[in-house]
Amino acid sequence: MQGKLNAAFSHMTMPQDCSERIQREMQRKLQKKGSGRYMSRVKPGKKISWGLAAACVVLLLAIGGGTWLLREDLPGAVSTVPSETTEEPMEMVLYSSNSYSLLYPEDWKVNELENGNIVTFSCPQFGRAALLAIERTNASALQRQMDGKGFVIPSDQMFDELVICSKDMVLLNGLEVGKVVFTYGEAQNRVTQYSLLFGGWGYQLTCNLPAVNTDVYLHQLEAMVASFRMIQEEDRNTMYQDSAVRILLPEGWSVKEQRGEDGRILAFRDPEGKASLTISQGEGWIVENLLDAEGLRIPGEEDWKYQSLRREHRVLAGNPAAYTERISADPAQIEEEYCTVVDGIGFFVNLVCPDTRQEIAELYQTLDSMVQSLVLMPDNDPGFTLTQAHLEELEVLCRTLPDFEGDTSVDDVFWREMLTRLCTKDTITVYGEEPQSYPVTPAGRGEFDNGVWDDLEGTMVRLSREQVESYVDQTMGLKLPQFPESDPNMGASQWAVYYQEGFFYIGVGEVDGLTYLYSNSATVYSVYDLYTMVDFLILEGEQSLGIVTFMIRPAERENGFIVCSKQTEWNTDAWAAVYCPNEQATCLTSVMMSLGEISGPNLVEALKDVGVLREDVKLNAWEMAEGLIHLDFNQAFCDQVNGTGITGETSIVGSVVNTFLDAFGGTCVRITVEGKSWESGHIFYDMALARYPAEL
Amino acid sequence: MDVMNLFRCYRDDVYRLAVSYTRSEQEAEDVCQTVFLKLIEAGSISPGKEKAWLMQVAANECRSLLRSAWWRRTMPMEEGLEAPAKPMDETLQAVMTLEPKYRVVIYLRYYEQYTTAEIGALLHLPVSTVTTRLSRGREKLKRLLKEG
Repeated sequence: MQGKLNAAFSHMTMPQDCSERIQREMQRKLQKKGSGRYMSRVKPGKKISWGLAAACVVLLLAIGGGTWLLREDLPGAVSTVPSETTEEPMEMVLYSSNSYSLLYPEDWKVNELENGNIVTFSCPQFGRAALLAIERTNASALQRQMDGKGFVIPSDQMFDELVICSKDMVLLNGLEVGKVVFTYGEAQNRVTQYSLLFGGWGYQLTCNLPAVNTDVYLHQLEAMVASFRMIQEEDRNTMYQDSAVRILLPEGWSVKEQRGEDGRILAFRDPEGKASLTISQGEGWIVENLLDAEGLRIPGEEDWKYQSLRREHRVLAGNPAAYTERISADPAQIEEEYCTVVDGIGFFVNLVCPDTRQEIAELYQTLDSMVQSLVLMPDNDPGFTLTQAHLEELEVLCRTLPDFEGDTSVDDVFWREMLTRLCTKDTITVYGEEPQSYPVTPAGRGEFDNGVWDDLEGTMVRLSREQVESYVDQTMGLKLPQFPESDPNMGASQWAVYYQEGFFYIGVGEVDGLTYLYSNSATVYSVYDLYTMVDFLILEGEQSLGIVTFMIRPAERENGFIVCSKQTEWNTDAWAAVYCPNEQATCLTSVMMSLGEISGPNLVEALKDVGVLREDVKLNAWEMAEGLIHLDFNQAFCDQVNGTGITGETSIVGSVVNTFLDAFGGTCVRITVEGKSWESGHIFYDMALARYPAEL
Repeated sequence: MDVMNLFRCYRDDVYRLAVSYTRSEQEAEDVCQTVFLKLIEAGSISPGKEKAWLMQVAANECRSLLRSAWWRRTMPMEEGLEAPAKPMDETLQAVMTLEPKYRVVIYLRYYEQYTTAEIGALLHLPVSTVTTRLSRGREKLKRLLKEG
């Protein structure tokens, strides 16, 4: 979208005649003023630069490629497959190795080869032929076999009559996996192969489906693959995990997180500070901007001092990524970089390793394992799903929490307002009358001890500092500041707060009489973290007065979240979709128009503005009841409609109907002229009209 | 730099912002004229801050215009855009159908590449409001482009 927007806006330039006119006006004004000098220097605004500069050194890793497939174990053109197989559901038993587990039919044979790095599962009917083979291999080696999207496409040199049937990214135990299905040989044996990178290793699951009893074996193989689970090797490494990243954290390595306006950077360093892995996270378009037409990144000018450069498509955490490898002369370093965009979030993974030959083996492999173990979770919900309880809590906070934005906008005024809003009455007490109102509504939380202050006719609530501290922490994750002791010099029913000897004394406020209705929620990525944005409509009766927006983030709190910001936007203006036919009068289109207030006459005026109705058309009366909108026009409306053909008539009546239905949310519109049903040259309008289709 | 050079440097930026706000080329031209004439009156502006100043004043002018009763009554939204000399890009058309509050933040973020904090300062909005509007604007835009 970024590219499209850029291109779209860049075509928008000031017209030449306008430019000349303004220049003339400016010259005239300058002449009047007497001087055209303007003492300042133009310095173009600095654009965001995400290039991660670093010098590079050579590292060539020759990692032996793993065996792709136990081809000799596969049935291949097995012609002696027994036709009788048991169709009874098989008992499944658990196979568990060091790094993964899965369920397999109990009478199948398990064969471990090459120190357990290759495990085959074979059915007794097929002898040694493996129906499922799992190979654990070096992640980089598997990465090299993958195309830029995470598929390992078998070479047709390995098979006779190889046919790729399909390839797709699928989810396997929550991990994105490249699935390739192909057939080979005369017998058209069907192979399904899953490739994934996890925990610093590459895994390939190869299912060989025989040509006979296909359904039975397909079911069994699918069940086995579906039961495949990774087991963490937590003895050797711990895992670093936050809301968006999961990665191996080798022992002794440090993690530093830096957050900024446009993103955040996670920097991992080895204990001696020789090597580093940096994960930068920000908006996706920033990454996209750096990629060339082929989707590969060309290092910036500051990175040009390298001996060699390699650019190719790779896979990062199951996502297509642009891979760049730079090897620099001075200082001797190797730098690798992956760029990928996952669900609108851009990730740079930058690996820097010294090119000291002895160290390469250990340090580089550690770094490589970290990269290969990476799991990116930008699309994950921040950790919870909004429940009814959450919404109920937020609805209360609509009323009780003043607007704020993180800890930067909370000041003394905020705290006072928050405390005042916490304590409200559900009935209004007029000062001087018999106090009504016990208990005072603790609009915040039920567990507040509403120790009502005896003075001032019960219009004051006492809350201990601990109670408020707990509330503030639970709700916003903030610390309550210290408050100076203050003088309780206030009268009854005042909206005021004072603090004395560890207690807040809060004048009781009144309920605002508005209702708050949940309308929408979405995950927001645009700053440097994941938030859930939750909107509530502010309603007075049925009229919408505005919208309250919360940004919440999961947290270990009673509610499971904290509020990071709350903002209220009051409607200052009303907008309506006003329909009109397009130039060719082939369909109805709508334009958003600003109206002082959404009302029948205003909508009619707007319809005149877009040229649908004539200036002399007037709305005599309008009303809405039970979804039916009734409009009564003057004779000019009928005259206008009668003066057009059937298309013109449809476009006028359709525009009126759709505009009113959109604005008031009714189901149909009844149009009368001077209080009576009316007739055009084509239709007798004595019925209610439903929404018109866009196509005329 | 003298005001004429500033005009040549930033006229398109100011113009784009004004069109984003008003959806009308004519209105945008008037806003631009007002902004650059104000620049002459303004006297000295800190070096390096000229663009920010111009964008700020343009945003203020547009907001005043949008608030004016005259504009609400008389502005047929499409008029200014239906008959441009050059056909309008589909994406731009979609952007222009958004409400002004979304159009402007999208323009400033994605074309001018202002940060959310800078947009907040420019439009006198809290950062979270800018973030919310960007998020909503993007969603609306996506929907419009899909439907389109």
